Amino acid sequence: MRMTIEDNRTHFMERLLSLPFLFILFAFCSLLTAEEAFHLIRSHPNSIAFYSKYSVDHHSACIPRSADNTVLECPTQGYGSILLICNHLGCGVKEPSTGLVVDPMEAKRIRGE
Amino acid sequence: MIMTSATASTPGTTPRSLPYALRFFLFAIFSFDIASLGYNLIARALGYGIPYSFAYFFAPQFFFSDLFEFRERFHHYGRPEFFTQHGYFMYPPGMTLPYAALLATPSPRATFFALTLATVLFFVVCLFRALRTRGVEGGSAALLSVGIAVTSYPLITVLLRTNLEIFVWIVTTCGLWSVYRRRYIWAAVFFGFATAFKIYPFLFFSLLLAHRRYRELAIGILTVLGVTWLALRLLSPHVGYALRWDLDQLRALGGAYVAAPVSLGYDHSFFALIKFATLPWLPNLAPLVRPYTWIVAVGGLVFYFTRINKLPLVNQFIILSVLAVTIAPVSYDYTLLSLYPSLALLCLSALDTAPRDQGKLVPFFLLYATILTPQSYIILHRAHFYGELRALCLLVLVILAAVRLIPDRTSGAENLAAAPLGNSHAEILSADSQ
Repeated sequence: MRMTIEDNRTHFMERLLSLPFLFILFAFCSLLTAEEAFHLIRSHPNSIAFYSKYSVDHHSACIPRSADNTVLECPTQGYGSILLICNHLGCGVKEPSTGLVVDPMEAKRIRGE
Repeated sequence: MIMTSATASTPGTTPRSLPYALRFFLFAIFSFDIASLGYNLIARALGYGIPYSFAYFFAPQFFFSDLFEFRERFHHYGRPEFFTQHGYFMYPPGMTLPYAALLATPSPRATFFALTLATVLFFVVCLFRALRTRGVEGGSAALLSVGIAVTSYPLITVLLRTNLEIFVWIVTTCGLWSVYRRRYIWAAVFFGFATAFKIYPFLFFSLLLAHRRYRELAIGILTVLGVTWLALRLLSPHVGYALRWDLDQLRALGGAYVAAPVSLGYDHSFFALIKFATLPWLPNLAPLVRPYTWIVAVGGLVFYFTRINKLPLVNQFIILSVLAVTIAPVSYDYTLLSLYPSLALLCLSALDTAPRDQGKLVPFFLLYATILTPQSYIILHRAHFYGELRALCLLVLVILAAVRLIPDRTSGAENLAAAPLGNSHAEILSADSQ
């Protein structure tokens, strides 16, 4: 019984790492890469001037993600939404590495320091 | 040089397929790539937010931005106004040469894309021919060499940012290939250019030191000095003034920028791990940068003389390539391009590894696959942790390359052919002498 399981596993790995299967994965990769590049160029998400479009006081299209409206989730072309940090003067793109958390450096930016 | 070294596979021999470790590597890079790009599709459809670890694409005028960051300054190239422009020029003087040459073309952006794609194509063709020379069947060789390029996350990053790192990659790759082919004078010249362009490739000079190539080492250092002097002289007739300006730029950048925890999502330097760990408190890390640099320098020297210089060539390539892109206090993901020469050499070594030892190469390939593919699904509470993941993988790769020896019978540079994988260096040498 144990040999059968090991045989099956070896057979499965051989199929998984076989050249035809790897070619199929490669074709799928190429397709997805082309789609990604095409989508990025077509949607041109950075044509929106977030700084002048939104602020803590003007954000009707956005979902507030903090009580004081300094973190907003606003629509962007082709990518659903984007997180912004804002003050009364305008908004800027939030660091993707901190997510919804406002780190002390971003707090300084919100205070305009 | 590379093209002429490759010849057709020996007539009469049956072409062989890829060994287990390389097929596993292909499976890993394709799987990671499909998972990442598939996640991007779903994230877009469901409005989960941006799938990238950097926000530049989403701020006006930052698309393909790096190429033109210093355009205004270089409009005054060779004139006094060059030194009074706003912003930091964060490269050594040598980088002004290829940058000025690029901006002097009728369409710098088109030239950049053409140069980058031509370079990648050349790398792919060279790897393909090297695999064919070692008897790998055409389809398998093409799949491996093209697959590496198509799934390359650093290549995507360098293209989308139009970053000058491509110049560093070109000369570094040529230098490492020259070492592999035992053309040490060429290697010294290429490493000299790379160091003049971006300081940290100076680590590759240690390959010449390991082979006791002191004359070539001197040629390399003279190349650094020559390229730097030429670049400064073209900036200003007062070379000393231009040098002081560049040092001030680098120092100012270090004080204001290097210690700041910005863009951690695509910063894979070891120092970024410290920034990440201290992010909740945000202490002023600027005073730490200089001690960190000294600790890394002393630690690197100890590491080199106690371990690196005793390792086979492939292990040296891996460790030095990783350190060249991780020991700087800031290192963004496009610098990962410099890992490809070591990956290519590892692929060639896998062909010469016995079937029973292929499994021992799998951890190397798994780490390379993790580091060099997008990984855009590593998200928790909308925070992206790609940079941290890569930094950890790079750290593990250095440790692994320091303890697990990879025999290299392809270059002839080390003569470690007969030894089984996993033995100590002394055992390898002993086996070789027998």
